[in-house]
Amino acid sequence: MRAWWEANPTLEGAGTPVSEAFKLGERVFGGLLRGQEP
Amino acid sequence: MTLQIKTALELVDPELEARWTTRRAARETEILQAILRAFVERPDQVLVDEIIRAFPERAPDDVRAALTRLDDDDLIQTRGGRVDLAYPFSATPTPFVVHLSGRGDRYVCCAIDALGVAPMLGESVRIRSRCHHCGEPIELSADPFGPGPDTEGVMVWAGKRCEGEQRAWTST
Repeated sequence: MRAWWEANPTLEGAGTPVSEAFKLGERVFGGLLRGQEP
Repeated sequence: MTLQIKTALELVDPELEARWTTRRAARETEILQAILRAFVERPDQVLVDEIIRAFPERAPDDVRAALTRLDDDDLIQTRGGRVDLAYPFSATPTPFVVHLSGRGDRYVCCAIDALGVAPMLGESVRIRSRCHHCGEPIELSADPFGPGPDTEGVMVWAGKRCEGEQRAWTST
């Protein structure tokens, strides 16, 4: 990620490990369709 | 300027979360869920007309108005009588693919959306993308409780949210 960021230093944002990114996805989508039949 | 590494709590977008919280509690919830179920169950495009038909007890204009509100809130995108996008899913190809067991591949909008599919459905998924720096294929797993051990060393770039943005993966 560091090499990618050094090639794109003006991009606003931050890096995060997949484990932390999962928590973000879970916060937004967690349980939204769980256990529901189509 | 140095590369910042942040935790999930530091990256939470209060505006985005507020929109989801509002809509999940609102009457549009059943319509949004119907759209998402359609994206889950088949790879075809989701048509506005089929969503209207799925709610025969509601007037078509009422359903159309709900779809407009969901679109205005950036929870879906409708165009030409189709739902092109319903977060986390995209009807058009993106660099992020989630494989649903028994159902096949689905495109999703970004890396974080890809990781949200397993907890959304309560089932394990495989995720494919490419390193945005070197182009190396990235494939990893996630279940409803977290990412698999094959995600060790993989980083996600969480950019400042803007229209059309896609969050990137890198492999180191």
